[in-house]
This record gives sequence, structure tokens and C-alpha cells, in this order.
Amino acid sequence: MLSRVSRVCTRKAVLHISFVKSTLEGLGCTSRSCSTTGESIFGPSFEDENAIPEYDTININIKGYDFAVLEKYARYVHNTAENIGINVTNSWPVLPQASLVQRIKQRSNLVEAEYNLSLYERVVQVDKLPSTLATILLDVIQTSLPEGIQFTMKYHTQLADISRYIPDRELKELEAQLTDLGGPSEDRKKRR
Amino acid sequence: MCVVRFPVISTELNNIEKRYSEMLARVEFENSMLSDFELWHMQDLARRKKRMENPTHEDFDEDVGTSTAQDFEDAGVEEFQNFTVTPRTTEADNTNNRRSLKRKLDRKLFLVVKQKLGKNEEWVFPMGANKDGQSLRETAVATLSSTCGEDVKAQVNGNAPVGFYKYKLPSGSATTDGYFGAKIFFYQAQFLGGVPKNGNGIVDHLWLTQEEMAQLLNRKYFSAISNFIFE
Repeated sequence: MLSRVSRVCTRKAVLHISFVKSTLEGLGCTSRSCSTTGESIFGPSFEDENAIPEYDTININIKGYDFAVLEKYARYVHNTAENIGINVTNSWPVLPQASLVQRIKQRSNLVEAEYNLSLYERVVQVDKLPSTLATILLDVIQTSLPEGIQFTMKYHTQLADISRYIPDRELKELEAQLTDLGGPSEDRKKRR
Repeated sequence: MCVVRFPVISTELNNIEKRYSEMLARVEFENSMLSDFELWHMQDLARRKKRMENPTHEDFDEDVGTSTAQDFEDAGVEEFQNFTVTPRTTEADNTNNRRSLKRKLDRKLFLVVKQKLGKNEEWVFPMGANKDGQSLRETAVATLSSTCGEDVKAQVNGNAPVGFYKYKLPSGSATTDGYFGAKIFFYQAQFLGGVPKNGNGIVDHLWLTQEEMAQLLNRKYFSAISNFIFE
């Protein structure tokens, strides 16, 4: 991994990384070495002193109303990240958010036009993003961002995992009915 | 400190791209199936034809108030014609105002300032000396506000510098500390707002594209910069 990264950064940039470690510690980045830490059968291995600090799992959320443009752009981001040498672990779609927009005539309640819009979303997940490539990746994404597309980059949380699932409305309704009736019955064993 | 205004709109397709995309659109149209709207329109036409043949049939009494597909299309066309499209080239493009941020909306614009370095005034990215105890990134941020004024807001992405330039001071003008050259580390930042103010270190500022910078900047300086700027 380190050899691929150094092909991308210039030699001069790699030499001056040592100061970066101290400033990144507060940001939740962990310094990972490329050789195994801890004891091996050949003796203790040492951490790579020039290891580039890496970010934890990051999600890149790409949202847009234009479906064709969004899909193509999400694919472009995914491919570009892989080609730069970033470890792209996962990419998934998120439920679209439907919205109804009504244009109302001035000073009246008459609806002039109605639009049913869906905000589609795609997520590309990258892991162990080296801080040197983070700047480059952000630069590439922002430069090639098409019109009408928004993107955000966040650390991965459990909420992101949960938001992938479509809520089961029937199940929730049944559960609500059950709580209305007073909770699950406890004397099932007795009846048997 | 390389302050960048990212492109606002996408670049225009060149000739080949335009023709290819038109061809792809035509192929897609021919291969596609009828949309809901087209089916609706065809149903309307069939209904109207039946109504012509048999006007008094009771099925057609409800047809008086409904809107046909044609009406819907006409309303859409009218709405489209009333809509004014913002032009891609702005006023700043026409006057070639290089201090304006609204110029060249589909290109990246870089902030270049005229700073006094030693005896001469040079066109450079805003730069300043690193103080002990300050990390390079903090220096870059502090330099930007000290040279261009507090107004300018920029977001630095990443703690590592993106570029590097080394130069020797002209012989005979070594500083009192004995340094005979300097190394400049570049940080890239996204421009968020504000107008650079002359007076604190800069004499003038311009927002330039890559080609314009090639003409204006020192050749070696530009070749160091061109290692990390791209479009």
C-alpha cells in the first residue's frame, strides 16, 4: 500500500510528513504502519516512522434530483478513487426522499403546477484514506461536481447503516397495535 | 496558500462530444418504450375519434371537463418559453475583469497577489514566513488573513501541503541570519467568501486561470505550482 501511495505523492511531499502526525492526533486519525506491529517469530517489529496518517471509514454521500447524472457521477467518483489508489470498501444507494412541490398562483390558493420530485442518493465508502490523498480526492470531487449535485463527506456512523433499510410499515403497525392492546401476553406458557 | 474558486458550472461539450451525445440520445429514444404521457395522448386521440363517430353515446359525457394530454403539453411548453435561462458567460467575461470572481464559471480560478518580497514586488500566491511552534497549516491560514485581510474566508482541506517550491536568494542579499534561500510549502484551500484588501502586504490581487498564471508568474514558480493544480 505504501509503495502505491508514494508513486502518487512526490518524493518531496513524503519527506515532510513528520509534523503532520502531531496535528492529526486530535482529529481521530490513527497512524497505521504497513508492517505488522507487535511480536513476530523473528523478533519485535518496529512501526514505520514515516507512515502516513490515515482517516477512519469515511462515507461520501452524493445527492441529486437528476438520476442519470447522479448515477454516472457516483460511478465516476468510485472509479477515480480506486484509480488513485484509495481503498474503496463499499458503495450503496440510499432510499430516495420524495417531495411534492406546488407552485401556487399569487394571492390565491389555486395550484398552478405540481411537481413530484425524488432526491436520489448514492454513498461511496472509503477506508484508510491517507491524509495526503484526502486533499487530492476532495479536489477531484469538487472540480468535477456537475450542476445539481451535492456531496458531503462524513465519518461512518451506525445511523448510516440503519438508514439503508426500508422500514417495514406493516410490522410497525402490528407492533403499535400490540402495545395499544397492552403488550405481549405473558401467560402463554401457562396455557400450554 | 493556494486559494481556489472551484468551477461553478460544468464545461461545455466540445464538437465531437456534442455530436456523440446527440446520437446517443436519438438511439435511446428509438429503443425506448412509450412513456405514460405518450400513452395518455394516444388514448385521448382514440377516444376523440370514437366520439366523432358516435357523439351522443353516454360514455363521452364526462369528457367535457377533463384536460387532455395535449393541454398538458401546451401548458408545459408555455411555461418553458416564459422561463429565462441564465447565460453561461457573465458580464465579467465580457469585460475580462480579472479581479471578478464571476469570470470563467466553468474553470478554476486561483488567487494571485502582488506581494513585496525583499526589494521587488512579485505576483505570487499569498505567502508568509513560518513561525516557530506553529504548524505549517496554521501558518498558511494565518498568512492568508494577515496578507489579504480578515475578510477572506478559505477552507483548507487536509493537513499536508500539496506542493513545494525552493529558491535561492540572489547572491549577495543573504539575510542577517545567514539563510541564502527559502522553501515554500503550498496549501490548497477552497475559497468561501470575502474580498482581498490591499495594504497589509499585498498591493494588488487577481483571480486567474491556469493559462493566465503561466503568462504572469515566474517560470520556475509556475512549474512548481503546476505539479499540484489541475482541471
